Amino acid sequence: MQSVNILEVESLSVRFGESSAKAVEEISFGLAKGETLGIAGESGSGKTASILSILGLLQRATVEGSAKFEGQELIGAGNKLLNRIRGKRIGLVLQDPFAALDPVQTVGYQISEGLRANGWSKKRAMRHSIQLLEEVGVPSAPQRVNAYPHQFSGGMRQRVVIAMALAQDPDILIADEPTTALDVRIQKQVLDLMKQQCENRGMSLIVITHDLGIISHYTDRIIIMYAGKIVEESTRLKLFDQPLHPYTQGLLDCLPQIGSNGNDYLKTIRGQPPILGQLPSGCRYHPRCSFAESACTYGPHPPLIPIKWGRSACIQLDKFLDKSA
Amino acid sequence: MKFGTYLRSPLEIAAVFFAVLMVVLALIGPLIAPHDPYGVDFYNRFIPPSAEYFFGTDATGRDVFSRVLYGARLTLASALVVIVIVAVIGIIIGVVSALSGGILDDILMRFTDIWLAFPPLVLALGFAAAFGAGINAAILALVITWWPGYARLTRALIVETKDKDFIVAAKAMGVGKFRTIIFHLIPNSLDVLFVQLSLDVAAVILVISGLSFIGVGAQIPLAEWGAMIADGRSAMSRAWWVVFFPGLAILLTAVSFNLVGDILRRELDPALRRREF
Repeated sequence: MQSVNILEVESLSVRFGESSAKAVEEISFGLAKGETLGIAGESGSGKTASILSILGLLQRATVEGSAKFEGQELIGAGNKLLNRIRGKRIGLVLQDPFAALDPVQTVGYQISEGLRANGWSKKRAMRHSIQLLEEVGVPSAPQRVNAYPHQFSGGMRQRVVIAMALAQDPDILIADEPTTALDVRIQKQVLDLMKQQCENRGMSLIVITHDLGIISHYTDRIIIMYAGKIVEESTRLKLFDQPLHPYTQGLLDCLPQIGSNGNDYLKTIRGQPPILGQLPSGCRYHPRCSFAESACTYGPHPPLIPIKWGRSACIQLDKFLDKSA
Repeated sequence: MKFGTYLRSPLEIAAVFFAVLMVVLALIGPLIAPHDPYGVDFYNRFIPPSAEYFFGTDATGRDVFSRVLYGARLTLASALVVIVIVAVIGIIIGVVSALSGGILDDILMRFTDIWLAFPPLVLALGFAAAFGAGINAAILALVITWWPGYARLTRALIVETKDKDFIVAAKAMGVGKFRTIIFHLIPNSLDVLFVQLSLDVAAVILVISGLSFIGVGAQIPLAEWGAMIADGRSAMSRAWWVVFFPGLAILLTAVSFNLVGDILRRELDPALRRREF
């Protein structure tokens, strides 16, 4: 099964600057062709850093480990090789559509820039931009293609950013918190659009988010990250029925429930995520975990234990499996 | 795009009018000048402004109006040469410094600091002493002392822009470094640079005229505004027009280019960019 994965990440670690603390530590995952993968976790859990490091987009960071795209090693690869992958094979949608567009260039130019860099003529690239804008649902595309980003609303900008990522027809679309800057109604439209584009093009999709609600609707498989580590990997259906890590359970408890009488307070996970460089011994989650035992508090962070439909990094995994069995 | 929305007061309209007028005169001045600016005519010395000589004549009977027109070309052309050269040198050094970082960045910036330490007037005096006074020495002195400002400004602007999300986004599309510089980094710095350039046109004109006035720039028979004032100042009590009109030309040009710079600063302010056109 491993060989069919289009993207294979092996013990990827990211360190920023001179510090020895790792923002991402030894994470491994694979992505199959046409699959949709969600990566979820709190701010600072290393979701974005891990994805940007794969494309060599992190500055002042040391990246270790391996990330292979179609067997080709990306970590440590030169710009020449990466520029053949960036945009063309892996498209990226950045988090903030207000910051991801250059204010002084037209959206048409920005969508087609990658193509122009590949030697497309201006005319052909512009025609392609108009077609893409139509595909992502920007109305009156032939006129709008010459407009500047400030003339677009947030939702429309995010569509433009998606059109940029789709322009070179990549095999993988990576969306880093694609809906965080948008209001709820627009969020659904944008996610539907990405999902639909992925299905039409047979593209794989990675969605990074802190919103489990999004993941539940749009991804096949889900990875939960905490303090730079993967703590659980599960399928969409299983994650919600049978979370295999107390952190996942905590996150799920934080979601408002439809049908509750409205007098309950929302549950929260007590405490704060650990600061890099001051990680607790043992399981990184144990200071906040309501199931923590003395065995959880010492030694290294527990390894991921494979199970039938995923992986979990909780040493009390058997308990959860038994409880729900 | 309505022109009127960019100009908010009669003063601004007048400033743009004079700035444009000076550029036009610099271009066509010699074609419309009624007399030879270097034509000496001792029978017509110190004639006050009249229908024949609009701005009067100077100590050797040369037509001041024609000389002011020729002076517009000389002054603006020298200012333009200075500005273009310093902008190109400064932007290249600023971009290289900002993008390289590390040791090269430090070396370039300290190198810039060294040149920044030279006062333009003193250096021009030195050049005049070494190579002989002349407009070229003045231009050289200005170029050498003026580019560091652009190098530092450009570096600051590029450093601010280079980590923005849209630069990462361009990189993620597989856009190369050179293309990113030309189409994203420099265009995003141009608004500030344009303002600085228009303000500096006025400053350079003043310095060139000043250098010519003290005798290290353009030399006296040359139709340059500063040199004309220097030439006429001994006769100021009987022939005010010889110094007045070139002085007025310097004043109007400097003030109008400064005001145009202010207008550009307001209109190109990134905070106001979102305004609908």
